[in-house]
Formats: sequence, C-alpha cells, structure tokens
Amino acid sequence: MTVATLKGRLQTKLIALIIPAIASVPFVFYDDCTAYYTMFVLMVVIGLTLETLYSFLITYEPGWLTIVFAAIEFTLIYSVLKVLNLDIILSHNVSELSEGLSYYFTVWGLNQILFIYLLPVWNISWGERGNELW
Amino acid sequence: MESIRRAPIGIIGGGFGALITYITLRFRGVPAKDILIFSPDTSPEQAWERSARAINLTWLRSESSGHFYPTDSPGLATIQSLKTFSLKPIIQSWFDRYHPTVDFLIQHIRKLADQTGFYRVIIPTKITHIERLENEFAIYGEAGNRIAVVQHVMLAVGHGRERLPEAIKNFREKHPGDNRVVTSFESKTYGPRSVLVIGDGITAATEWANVLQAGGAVAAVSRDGFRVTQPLQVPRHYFSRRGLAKYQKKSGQERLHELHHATRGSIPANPAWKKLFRKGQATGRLGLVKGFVKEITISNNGRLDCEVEFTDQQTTHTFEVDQVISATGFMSATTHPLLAHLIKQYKLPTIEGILQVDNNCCISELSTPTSVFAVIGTAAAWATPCSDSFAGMKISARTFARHVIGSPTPSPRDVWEQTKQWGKLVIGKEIA
Repeated sequence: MTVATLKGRLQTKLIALIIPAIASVPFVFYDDCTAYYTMFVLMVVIGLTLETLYSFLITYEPGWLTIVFAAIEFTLIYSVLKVLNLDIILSHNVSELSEGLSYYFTVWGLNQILFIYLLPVWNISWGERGNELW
Repeated sequence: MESIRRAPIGIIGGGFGALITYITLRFRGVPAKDILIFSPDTSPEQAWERSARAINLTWLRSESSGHFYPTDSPGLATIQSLKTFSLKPIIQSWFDRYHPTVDFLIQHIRKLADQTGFYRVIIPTKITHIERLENEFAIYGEAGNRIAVVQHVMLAVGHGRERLPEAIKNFREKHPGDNRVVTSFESKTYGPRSVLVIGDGITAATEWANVLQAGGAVAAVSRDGFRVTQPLQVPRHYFSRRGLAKYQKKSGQERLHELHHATRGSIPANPAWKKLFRKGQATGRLGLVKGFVKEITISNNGRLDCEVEFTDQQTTHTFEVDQVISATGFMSATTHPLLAHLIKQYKLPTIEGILQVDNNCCISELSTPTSVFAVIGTAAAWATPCSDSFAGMKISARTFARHVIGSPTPSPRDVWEQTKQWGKLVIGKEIA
C-alpha cells in the first residue's frame, strides 16, 4: 500500500535512480552506445517531474497504477528521445523501441524489487512515513 | 510465595497488538528473555478467532499488507503465491482485490508466534492493576499481588466492552431467556427468517450476508446511515504520514470530530457482497434504514416488534421480525477495566471517552524519559485513527521499539542483521 508524501516520492525516486545509473554502464558497453546515459538523464528529469505531479493528483497508488505510471514515464522518455532525435546526435539507436524498452523495464523491475521487498526491510517505517527516507 | 519476575519490557494483553509488539521487538534484536507477556489467552488469535467464527467470517477486509511480519514486506499475497505456485494472489493484490482467508491468517499468526518464541514468554494471568514506580512499573495479578516489575509497558488490551444498544439491553432485562435478540458475537442460527440487524460496519454486513444466504430477509438499521465501498476500516491516507501528520496537528474537538468521521462504520466493496446485497435490495429482502431502534417488544403473534425512529424524518415505524442481531461493535478501550482503573488513578486525560495519548502512542503522564508506558490497538486511536488495524498496530509497535531500544541505524551491519532476521521469518526459521 503506497500512500506517499511529496517528499517521500521524491526521496524514494532519487534513491531508486541509483539503479538506472548503475544499469546504464553494462547497457552502454554491451551496445557500445552512450545514449543510455541520455536516457538516464531523461529518466531523472521526467521521473522527478512526474512524481511531483502524481503527488498532487493522487493520494494512494495501487499496484496497477504503478504499472500505468511506468508506461506513461517510458512513453514520455521515448517520445523526447524521438522528438529530439537524440539517437542521431549520439550516433546510435537507443530510441529503437526494443532497446529502450529492455533498458527501461530492466531498471523498472529492479526498482520494484527495491520498493516492494528491500526498502521496507532496510527501513521498516518507510511506508508509514509516506516513503520518506530521511 | 511466588517470586516477582523482572524484565525490561512487559506487554499486557496477548492478542494481535501484543503479538505485533513482540515480533517487532524481537526483529529489532530484543531477546525473548527480556519480554514478559501477561495474558489469560494462550494464543494471540484465540479471542479474534472466536469472534470471526461466531459471525461465519471467512475472509478479511484487510489486504496483502495486513500481516504480522514486523516489516511491510512481504505481503500475504506474495506468501500465498509462493505457497500455491500461482500468480493470482499477486495480480489480485495489484488491484486491491486480494483478501486473505481467516484460516490462512490464523496459520500465518501461529507460525510467526512459534518462530519468534511468543508462546514461551506468555504468563497466563489477567492483570488487574499497574503501578507507576520511580523508574519502573509494578504489575499486579488477579489476586491483587505484585507479580512482576518491568521498565517499559505496552498496554495491548484490545477493545473495550461490547456496545449494546439501549433497546437490546432493555429487552434482555425483561426477557432474559429469549435468545432471538442476540449480539453478533453470540451463538445463533440463520434461516429463512426476517432479521433486524443493528450496525453499519463489516460485522453488520457479514450478518446481512449470512441471513440473505440462508434465505432470510434483513432490515438493516444504523443511526448514521451506511458508508458502503470503503475498502479498509479507515480511509487509506491515515496509514501514512500523508494523512497522519495533518490529523496529529489538530487538537480537541476538531481532532475528535475527524477521528469519529474516520473510524465510523463502513462496508467494503466486496464483489460477491455487492451482488448479493443488490439482489437483496431488488427483491425486497434487504432494506437499509437510517435510524435507531427505540424499543423491542414481543408482538401479539409472538414475533418481535422493533420500533425504529428514522434519523432524518423523526417519524417511527415498527418492523415485525423473527430475530434481532446487534452488530454495533465495541466501546472505546477506556471501558476496559484495567485502562479505566489507570485513567481514574493517574487522572489520564480523556475526551468523550477516548484516551488522549501522545502522537507517539505513549502516555506522558505515566512515562519518564527512561521508562515508557505505551498503548496499542483501539486505545491508541487518538494518535492514529487506523490504530485498530494491523498496519496501525505496527505504527504503535515500531514507535514503542524506538523508545525502548532506540532508532534503527542505516549502518550496513544493522541493515544486514535486519535482512537476516527478515529472511529467517519469511522462510519459516526461528529467530534468535
């Protein structure tokens, strides 16, 4: 059950962004493409903006809505990559849907494990504090 | 003469609040020998199970997160998915459609109680009094003798007395042997009869379902009307700082008003019930009445005449029924004899029968910086409106643990220890 405060949403998102930051590295090496770093930067900007927006729009976030939010976030990131034509600038093709999807949802899956199974154990009052970590 | 026991922590009561407090303390590293639990019940689910069975309750209103692990994770849906090799419970939990069965929850409780050594620290006795000493508390047993001295107390006595409408009380006084007028937790049978059910919470709705399923008809009566489709017993924002912070800033009548509003009876939107109740209303077998029962008498033909005054219209109507079930829940925890005694002796602050505990669930009048007196369950409602839920009890238990042994640190060692303890609990091993 997620009933987060704005502060909790932003703090948790920032912590969760460590995962895509780390995950970018193997993707960059495997695909020989630095555009994953660009995608990560977009995840930071778009992710934090969306979290702020969601905090005003909803009080409670059920599991299904988390999936919808992921789809929205990915669509926005992917659209920005396409619109800005960043793949050309960066001389590779991370804006190919399959590559973008695999990167985004690998990171998203790892984040879900962090949110659902690890953070509530490492910080037992995380949920009742509205996901605030400090 | 029996020797007086001494321990750093005493938990008074042996139900859900006691179990959650005990498990939280054990998870935080407190050894079992440092905790004493005083309870006439020898198993934490006993009292609750009796009530649940009395109303034929088979599933819970709580969702996947309504469990007894000290952490919020894993949810019961995950546990059930792993046990049954099925993703169905997890997928249901995404849509808040997962509700554990009574049997599954009882199994979960017994297992955790066993793993944490709960049964071994119970002292099977009823506590009649607690005395504040300089930096400790003296605990007194039924015979009025001092049986233990502890440094910190968690009072986990559960609900107050069962709430009984005046009309029921009066009828019972006049007709003591007539078992057609019962409370929901008393023994009764269901059949194709017409039944008047008083109450507006999940217990009342369970009784509606029991009567309708047995082919009977229900006249449901509640003074405040019916709040249907609220998933949990209080709105969700009260389960986190998001709702609690605003609530806890309020005081006096304003806070009391919000508490009453948050905790008033409500009925979850269970799909099977929705269908049953809609069908009942469409066929005239379920009628909802906003009003209160003024009097119950025996009619000339031997049935029960219930005079109901409608709240809004101030008119009365007499319902002729075969049975009356009162499902009006419990009174405030302050009606519990032990708490009532403490309130009187130590002049603890109350407002309209509600104990005004601190926001951290402690009672400052009974606490010192090094010796804390805290409450859990409905007694902590003033601090957290969700105090009667499993998640609400965890808020009280975690706060108590912080007072007793300090806040957990984010050091890798502490995090590793917690992860290890959690792992053991989840895989079914005993914790040290």
